[in-house]
Amino acid sequence: MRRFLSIVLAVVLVLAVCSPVLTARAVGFKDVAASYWAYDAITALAAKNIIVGYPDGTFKPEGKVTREEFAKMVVLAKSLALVKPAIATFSDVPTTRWSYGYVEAAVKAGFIKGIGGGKYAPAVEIKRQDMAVLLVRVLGKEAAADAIAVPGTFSNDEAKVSSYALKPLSFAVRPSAQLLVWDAQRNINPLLSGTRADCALGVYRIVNPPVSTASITVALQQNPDTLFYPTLSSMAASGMVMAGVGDGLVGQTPTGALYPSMAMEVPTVANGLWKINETAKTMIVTYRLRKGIKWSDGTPVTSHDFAFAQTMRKNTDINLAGSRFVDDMVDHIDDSDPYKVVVFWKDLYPLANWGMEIDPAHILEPIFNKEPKDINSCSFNQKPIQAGPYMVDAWEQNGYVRLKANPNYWGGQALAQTVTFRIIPDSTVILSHFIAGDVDVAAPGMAVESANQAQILQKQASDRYTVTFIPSIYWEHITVNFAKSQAGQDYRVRQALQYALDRDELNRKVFQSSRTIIDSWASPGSPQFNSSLGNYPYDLEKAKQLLLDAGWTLDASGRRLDKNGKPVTFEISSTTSPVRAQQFPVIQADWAKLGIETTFKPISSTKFFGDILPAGEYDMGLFAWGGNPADEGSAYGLYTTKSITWINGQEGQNYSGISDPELDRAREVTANTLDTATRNKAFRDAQVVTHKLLPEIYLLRYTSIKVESKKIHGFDYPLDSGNIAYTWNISYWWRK
Amino acid sequence: MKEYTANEELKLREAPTETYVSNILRRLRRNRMGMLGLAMVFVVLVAVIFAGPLSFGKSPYAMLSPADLKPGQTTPEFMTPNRDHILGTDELGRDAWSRLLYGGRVSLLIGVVASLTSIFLGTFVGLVSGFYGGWFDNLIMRFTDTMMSIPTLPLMVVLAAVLKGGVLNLILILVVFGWMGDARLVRGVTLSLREQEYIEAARAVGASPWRIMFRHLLPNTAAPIIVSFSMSISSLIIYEASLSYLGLGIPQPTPSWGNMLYNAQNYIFSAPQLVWFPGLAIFFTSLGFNFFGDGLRDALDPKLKL
Amino acid sequence: MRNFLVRRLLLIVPMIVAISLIIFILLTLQGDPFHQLLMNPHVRPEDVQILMHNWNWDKPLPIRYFNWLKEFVVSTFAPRAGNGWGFSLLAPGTNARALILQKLPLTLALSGGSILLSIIIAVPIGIFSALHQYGFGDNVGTFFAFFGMSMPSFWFGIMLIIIFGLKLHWFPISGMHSDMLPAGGQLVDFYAAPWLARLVNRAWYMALPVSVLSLLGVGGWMRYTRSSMLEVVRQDYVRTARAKGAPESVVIRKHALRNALIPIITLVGLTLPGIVGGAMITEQVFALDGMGRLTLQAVLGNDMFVAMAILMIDSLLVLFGSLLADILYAVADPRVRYS
Repeated sequence: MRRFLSIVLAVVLVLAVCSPVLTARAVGFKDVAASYWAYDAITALAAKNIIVGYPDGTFKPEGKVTREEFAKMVVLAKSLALVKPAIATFSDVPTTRWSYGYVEAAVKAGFIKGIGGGKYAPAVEIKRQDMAVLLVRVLGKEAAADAIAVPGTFSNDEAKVSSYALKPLSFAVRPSAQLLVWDAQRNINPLLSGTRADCALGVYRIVNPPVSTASITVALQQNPDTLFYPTLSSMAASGMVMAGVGDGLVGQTPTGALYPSMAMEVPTVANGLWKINETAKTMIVTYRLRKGIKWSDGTPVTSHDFAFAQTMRKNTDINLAGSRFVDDMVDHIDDSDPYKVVVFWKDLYPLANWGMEIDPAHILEPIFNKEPKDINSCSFNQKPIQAGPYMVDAWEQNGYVRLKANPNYWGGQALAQTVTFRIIPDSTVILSHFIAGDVDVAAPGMAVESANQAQILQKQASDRYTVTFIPSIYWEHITVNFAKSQAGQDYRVRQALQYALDRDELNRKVFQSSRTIIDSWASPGSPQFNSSLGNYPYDLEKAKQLLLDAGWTLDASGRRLDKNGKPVTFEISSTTSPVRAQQFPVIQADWAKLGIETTFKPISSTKFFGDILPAGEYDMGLFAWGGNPADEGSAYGLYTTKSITWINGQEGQNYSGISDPELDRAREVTANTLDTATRNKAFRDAQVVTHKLLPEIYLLRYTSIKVESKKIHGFDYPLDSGNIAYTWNISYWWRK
Repeated sequence: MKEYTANEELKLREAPTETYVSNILRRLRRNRMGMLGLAMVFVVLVAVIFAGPLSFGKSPYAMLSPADLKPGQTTPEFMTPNRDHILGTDELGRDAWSRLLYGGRVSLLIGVVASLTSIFLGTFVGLVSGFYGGWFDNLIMRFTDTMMSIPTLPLMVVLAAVLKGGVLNLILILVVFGWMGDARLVRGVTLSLREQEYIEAARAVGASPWRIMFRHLLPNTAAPIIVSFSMSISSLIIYEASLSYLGLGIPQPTPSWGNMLYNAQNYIFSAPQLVWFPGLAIFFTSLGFNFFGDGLRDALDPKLKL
Repeated sequence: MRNFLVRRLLLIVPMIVAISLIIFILLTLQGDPFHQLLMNPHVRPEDVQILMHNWNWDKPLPIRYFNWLKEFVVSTFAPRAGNGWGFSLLAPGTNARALILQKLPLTLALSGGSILLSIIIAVPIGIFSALHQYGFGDNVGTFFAFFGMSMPSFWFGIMLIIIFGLKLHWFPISGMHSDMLPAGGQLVDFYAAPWLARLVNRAWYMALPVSVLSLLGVGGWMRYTRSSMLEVVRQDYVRTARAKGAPESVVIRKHALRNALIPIITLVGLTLPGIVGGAMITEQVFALDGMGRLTLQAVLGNDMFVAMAILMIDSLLVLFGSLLADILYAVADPRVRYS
């Protein structure tokens, strides 16, 4: 008997010792993947038993939470002792209720005050805005929230927020709190019930709030030309630096969701702020400016700042970097009401609610009025003043740009006190810096560029950095010059060249298979992508057949002759990038199998893009460009007859010289129709033509490489967006 | 200076007089650095001339594909030295050793031809200018000085960016900016020799100016020219490498030591051997020509008592 | 001497004009900055036409050249009247002069430092080499000299970065100075720190690039010193001094050295252009914002006016440098007479 008992005791003891391990391992919930947005919060809270999963191993993150359950979570998280006074505070939470101790503890700590009438409504699902109110109280920041001068939630449904919850909710979405997140359409959903995941995040954040950070260092490969962005600069480097410095009427997430920032809401036809007169082809877009926003030097922001920016842009003495194509569609801006920016459009522009540019009139207008040309060289280029979460502190040309947090930013001070952009032009040197550990972040496409370098980082520094590949908007292609190249003779020839490229092997050899194969200029997954078109797989036999169909035969020695009997030679011009030099021999070898001779001509990129391409002085051009997933194709007037650059040297980038009535028609529709469905159909129609005629032979879509220090939180850049810089939410970044 | 013992003095005095060439060769042999340089140059020349057979059947252009892999090998690119490929493979799966040899051909060809052409051009200009003298000489020399004063590397870059890449164009660029040194050198020698008696004698006999220049003056300029030839090959190889580093050298897929470095620059961490081999090749060759040229200079210098 | 000087100075004028013409034509081959602006789809053609008209660029080449030349001369001799040698494409809002003045200090520090270092290392080695001609010491010295001259600079630079910057962490990997320095217990902006701290910091960042550059130059200086020394040592007066019974060290120090060093001094004049011309490739590798990098960017980027200004300055320095060398030679060696 004694032996039996001692065995039982031993087993029990073992189980008791092991049980934390067992329960800890059970924390890996089946329905909460490591990539889930609330993973860290859920895991951390579950480890402390503040929240528990279900017996089947799931967590059911989308499940709802009642008000008393939420109170319990908060009390557990703050490790408060349960309080059980003799008399209940709320009539609907009697002493017998299971949550009595928790609710009373929360009352004692001052966290909850009830819904009025002595009630708490314990079994009702907690609304998100009430979560915010409660959590702000827990943080002890009620007074701070109340003191917010300009409340704003950066969400499209701000109007739905109850007045009592507006300031706490504004506080809750600030960098210092980050208690609640927006959904994919940038709604804060104040009246929806908080899910288990929402509550986990909120509670987690009150125990582990984002901390103020001294500095973050970002690697940048190019020196900005000027920081007067976007008026005088279109460089991606300037955009990266200024993304955190500027603030606008309307913001946009990398996935393309618009949200109001300085404006109170995004103007839409539905909310009446975007009026369209289809017959007269005019529009009126009204932005209601929040009251109380200030420039970083303390001057108030008014609608006049927007009107002035527009006047400045329209002036031809200003060396505008962006296209005046949109500005020419704006008739004028009415700034009679200092808090209403009313934009009068004299054409139908589909993207009219993306905001208007703003510049400090109190600084620039005097310079502009004296002599507009002075704007091009004024000191604002080196040290601009804007109204965003950061200010430009110092800029050492080709050395670094340092930003410091703007303490007066209406939307809440940024977490990182300083952000330093280190300008390092050589990619090997950037890699060295990462290996040495003195840089924190590399923005995709702007620092670490090759899959090979990414692999090195993964091998040597994976404990310090997370290296991620994200889809990029840029895709590499070979543009055929219809006017000069032999390949311009017949579309079947171009199709043959396309079929003859073994792009899997190209991808493997040069990019370690990190890029993706594409067969269209639209990205699969976007509503503008025409999914009914086929692909161009590697098919050498089909390529040879197509050439024969086009009358391109082989001569006795195996050389390919075109339909006029001339031997076929192509000369591919490109930039001096070593990556392109590496792709060339693979392309050359593939086309050699068709009996075609190909040579390579690298040219310095400024000359290539500035001179050779637009002037049509090339046979074939190898380069990359990109579209914006939010709106493909309309930004650049590709493929239309009007935009053949060497004919009229005007706008547009139709370097191939393709001219097709169907493409021209499609462009008309996309540029001037406001109905999304019609526009998308026009894009798809255009793809049918380009897919067949192949003005550009498709190579591979870039993959951008993000390198992020494991110690830094707050990044939100799932894909390489054309419009939105990687640093768009830099005020939310902090170091653990 | 070396002190000779009585015996050695005797031997020297009784030694048979040498011919000019054998004198030079003897002096050269004494210069150990020069001989080392000669050996180095010889090794390099043999290697690139016999690049074909020495490649053991590998082609500098053929790219390996995954189908060619043997068991145990993971990727056809960046292979480390193994039995099939002495120096491994490069970033596109091509045999690195044969590329090194064929690349050496290109780099050396550029260096030698550019050097020779510069010398021809410069010698011609210098001879004519020095011989005729007067305002003609002044004009030519001013022009030479003007060309010499132009900053070379930036303008080489400009020309390289404008012209299509290729061996011929690169040689052209190097010659355009390289002939001046030889012209000055030859002109200097010509000026100093112009007044010698044997030249006067030749004139008296009725020799034509061309005959005088090429038959009498030219051989005397041979010494500095030969030295210049050797030393300039070294710097021309480095110029080619520098232009290639900027992406403006020999275009793909033709290998040259310069563009092999350029291709490999992104792979310094993952495949450093691709950066070492061409770099060392340039260094070794350059060093060899420098040593040899230096030794030649000493051997050919009549003022040096050896 | 005075006639000589005057003649040489007068000669410089036509030479510099000829040089400018050659450079101008070469740069125009690459295409002009207006052409590029015109082809930029974001810029309105009318705006470019106005700009071109202001620069007389819509006229044929000779007129364009003279216009540029006139502007260049005016800007050089009457800085306030001109527009600073032309606008810059790469840095809108500044002109060529402003850009050059910005980058010059760094390049002066870099090149000046490396030349100094080269001389300090090379001259003693050269002397030693000469005195032990063909001995082991000479061979080592010669090897060392040619070592530097045979090395492609970018290769060497990257090797140094990897070894000393990355593996050993002795020196910073790239850049010109830290953006913040510790001062009084906290970090302040670089420009707010005391001058000594700034100097030390800059020197630390300059260490690797200066090493690369000086290694490349050491060879030349060493060989020159050696050959100069060799020539002097063979002279009769040195033999006499030895015959007198003076100890070798005195012979070298009192008689040979001074004369051997004279040509070295004159060489300084010839290296003048190099100081400002900068080291294009080394600056590229080490990410230094100096004249070399500016030259490369301007030349490759079609920033015509900036490139012209830089190349003109370089050429002028070559011409003045050789004049300086000749003058110094005459001053140092009384036997030299110019007429």
